[in-house]
Amino acid sequence: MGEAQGVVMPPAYDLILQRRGQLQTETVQVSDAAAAWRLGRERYPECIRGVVCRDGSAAEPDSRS
Amino acid sequence: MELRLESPALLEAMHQAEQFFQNQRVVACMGDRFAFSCLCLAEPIRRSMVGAATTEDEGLELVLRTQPSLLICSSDLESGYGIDLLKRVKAKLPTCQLLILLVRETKEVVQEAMEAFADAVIFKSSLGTGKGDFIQALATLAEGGVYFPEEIRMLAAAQSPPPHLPPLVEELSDRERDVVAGVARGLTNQAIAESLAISLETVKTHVVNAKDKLGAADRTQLAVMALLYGLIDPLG
Repeated sequence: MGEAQGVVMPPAYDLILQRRGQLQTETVQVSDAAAAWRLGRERYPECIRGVVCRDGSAAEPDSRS
Repeated sequence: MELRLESPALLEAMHQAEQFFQNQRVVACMGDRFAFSCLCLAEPIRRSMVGAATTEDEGLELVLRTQPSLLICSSDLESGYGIDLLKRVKAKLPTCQLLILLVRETKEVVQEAMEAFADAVIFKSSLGTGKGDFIQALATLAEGGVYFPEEIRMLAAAQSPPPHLPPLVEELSDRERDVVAGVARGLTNQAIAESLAISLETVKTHVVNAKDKLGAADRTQLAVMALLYGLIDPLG
């Protein structure tokens, strides 16, 4: 099914999860950071360690060379 | 928690406290005015109190003026920060023993307290549980020891950087850590800027510098590396 014109995708967030002593990430698309935390706590109540917004508008400039 | 006022253990604790405070000069510095007032009025302690304050600057001024043997301090103060007060007191009056009650139970705060050369560290929530005891702390201090209950030591040790990580070439500054903690809480740069009352450009600079220091390619790697090194606690 094609993507409807004008539909804005929600921003992407990386959930940082601790599993068996390792940190892993899982990308979700939700409305905001609070929703990302809520989702992370619901799905992975024992594992969630952090949430990172991947939204391009929030990104910093390229690292200095 | 029910405090059993007539229990033999409590009566023994009062006796021990009385003995300990006989030869002490105590300054108390706490943000909670009620707890602070009760502490200063408690009979075994009252006679040893030479000063009491609710802010970091007042606390330091009192310590310098009264030269106490013991500072009892809480991490939360009306202004300033209890652990910063410990650092300042240790620098000016190294003979003063330092007992701190921590509100936040995170590795970072525990490490901060240890690095400030606290002689006794107790979580407020541990009082009365047997896992972090005020009287035990006093007894240990009386013997010239340091009191870090198991709960505190385990927290400090459990989240130490894994041994396979190379040592950091350059430490993150306090501000960089604040910014990276914001990244790992899911905040945008704009939201971080607002939460720290700094400019967006400053946030971007801190993110870039922190990425360089941790060898991270993007924001997610930055947060992961900071967590691995135990530099931040987004849940704290």
